[in-house]
Amino acid sequence: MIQTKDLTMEYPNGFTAVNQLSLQVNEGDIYGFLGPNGAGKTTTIRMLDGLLKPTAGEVLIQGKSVIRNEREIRKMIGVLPESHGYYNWMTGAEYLLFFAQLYGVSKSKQKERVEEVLRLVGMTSKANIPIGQYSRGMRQRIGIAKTIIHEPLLIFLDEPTLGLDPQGQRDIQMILHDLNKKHGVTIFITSHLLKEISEICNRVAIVKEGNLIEEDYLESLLNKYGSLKVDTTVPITLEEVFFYLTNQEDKEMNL
Amino acid sequence: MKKVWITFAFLFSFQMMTQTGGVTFAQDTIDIKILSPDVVENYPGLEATVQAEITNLSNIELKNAMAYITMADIGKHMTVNLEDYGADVPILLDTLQPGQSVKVELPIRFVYTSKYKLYVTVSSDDDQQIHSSESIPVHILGNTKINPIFVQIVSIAMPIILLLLLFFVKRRKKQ
Amino acid sequence: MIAALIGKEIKENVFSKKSLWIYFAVTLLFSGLALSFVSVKELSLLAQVEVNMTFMKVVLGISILVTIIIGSNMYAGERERETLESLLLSPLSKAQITFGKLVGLLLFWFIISLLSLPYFFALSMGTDIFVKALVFLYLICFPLVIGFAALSLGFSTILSSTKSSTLLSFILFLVTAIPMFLSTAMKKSGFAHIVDTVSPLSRSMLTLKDYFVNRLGFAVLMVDLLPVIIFLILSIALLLFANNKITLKGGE
Ligand SMILES: Nc1ncnc2c1ncn2[C@@H]1O[C@H](COP(=O)(O)OP(=O)(O)OP(=O)(O)O)[C@@H](O)[C@H]1O
Ligand SMILES: [Mg+2]
Repeated sequence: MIQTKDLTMEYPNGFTAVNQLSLQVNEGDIYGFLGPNGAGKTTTIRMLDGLLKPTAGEVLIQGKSVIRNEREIRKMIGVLPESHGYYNWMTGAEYLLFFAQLYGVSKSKQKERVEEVLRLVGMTSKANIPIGQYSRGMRQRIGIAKTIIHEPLLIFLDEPTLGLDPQGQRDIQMILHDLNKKHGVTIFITSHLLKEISEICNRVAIVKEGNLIEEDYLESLLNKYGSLKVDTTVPITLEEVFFYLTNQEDKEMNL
Repeated sequence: MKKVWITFAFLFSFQMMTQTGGVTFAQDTIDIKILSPDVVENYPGLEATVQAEITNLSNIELKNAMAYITMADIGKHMTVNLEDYGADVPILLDTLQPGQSVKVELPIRFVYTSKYKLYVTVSSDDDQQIHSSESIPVHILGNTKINPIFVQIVSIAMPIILLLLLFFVKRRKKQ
Repeated sequence: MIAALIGKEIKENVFSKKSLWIYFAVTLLFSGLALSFVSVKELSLLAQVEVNMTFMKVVLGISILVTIIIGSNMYAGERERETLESLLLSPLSKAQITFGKLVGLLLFWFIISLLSLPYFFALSMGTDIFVKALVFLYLICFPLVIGFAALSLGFSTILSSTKSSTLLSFILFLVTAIPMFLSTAMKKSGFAHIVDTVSPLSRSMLTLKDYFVNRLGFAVLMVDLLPVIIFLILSIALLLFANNKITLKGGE
């Protein structure tokens, strides 16, 4: 689904935020993209969705260059950016209708589609309230609804559960799980919450300071590092792998 | 002794008179005549050209002379801001040789309704005295077809309509 | 698709509650001025052409001023509300987004100009001035309005905060309006003279006079308007340049 080769982003100030990143996301994956703050996750997503032009390397989605097929790719993907605002004067339904029209959903289907995504994110009863009166969790749901309004094959979610309470996180996870399993949407997700990632993702990549440290199926990853663990009676968690990998160079750390 | 005083006083006053006579003479160094129009009676917006003849009567050359229109509003007893009338730019005459006579055309556009005296004034660098022509009467008649009632209706209705619209929108939002 | 964006801009900027308040304030201003023409003695002695010309100057100044304030908020506002990224990610190109916003902005100006028409109608009664006012407002002034709209939108894309782009547009508007505050004598030399000859606003006022009062022909009006056309071209060039520069900075 997504393929990158030596993807590099050097910002105008000379800072290399992403360094020669080569990723492979397969159709049907829920792909967790992990890394500490400033690792280059948001930068990577912006290159994948075509908002940022990489200084080197290329992104292919369904075998097509993102930069060269901008319009076509954009209709194929949905993105929920990291810090994402809303038009507070619109109601949830109006907001979704706006994006349905913006993405060229055919006129006869617009209403139907809005109702469908509202149901998917469990916001039908709140659809006619202005977004300005929504709670954070409700906004995030509407955000996800907007991301999938045009039935994309692939969605990017940049920390979609940021600032949500455990119940809110859980709800979003369920929505994503449904989307993936029932509607076959490929999901590329970044998060700080390792538990969350390990619960819903099947593939994981770990980046640090713009460099890819690991990329593998979640199970293989756990197996690979599980054997390194000193105390093998307790199964290894993704969290342990993450800290092991991201702190490796700084100090010697044992699992 | 008294006689002497009287003679003195007489001589002195004569002296004074000749001096004032000198001033009068200076006024006559430049003669300004408005050739046309003789009188203006019309509606606002009228554009006119005031034609005047300026003659140097003295035997010295007058440098940097300029001619311009002046108006006094005798309806309101005020001076007039000639910028509003597009008549604030003087005509420069350069040097006027002794005996030389030039014709100037000064444009003006009458905008305000009132009665005026209009005259042409000339001044030059070498002369402390300002010279003016005789004035012509100008009467600008009111012609505005504006109906004050109609303007008042519009001016009151428009904000009210918008205020109603605002209330309407507010109420609809609440429902 | 672009229709959706234009629709959103209209709802947000043309028919929103905020804009209704603006319209209300503008009509109050128009009313005050119109009433003064029929009640204040000094003004009521003005020739009818002058009355309409003065009113036109105010209509033009006010409508452009509020338009550039709205315009400077259009992109910078999306940035501040963090809604820009989703807009840029839509299938619309940057140029289409900018175009949609420009259309919305011009529509806002159009509504304000519509509000002035009843006043012109009342003030021009019994003359041919009303038709002239329409021609002036919608034909002769259109390049000026588009120019200022494009300029404010351009600033709005380059500067990331609504405050700075509003301020910059406002200052530029004031600079072009300088000659109006100056006496004729000052306008004849130095900096003020330069501003007076190149300022699109002064040139429009000159055109207004040549059209309303001097009743000059099309050719003269075109010469009067030349700086306005140049201003329009420059503003659009700035907007196109700014359009290509739209990027999201880190952390946005
Ligand atoms: N416009 C920019 N110019 C220069 N450097 C930038 C710019 N944007 C981001 N960076 C830098 O690039 C690095 C990666 O930023 P990025 O936002 O991609 O990190 P992240 O992994 O998303 O972090 P977080 O978890 O905090 O969201 C950071 O060190 C950041 O300071
Ligand atoms: Mg980030």
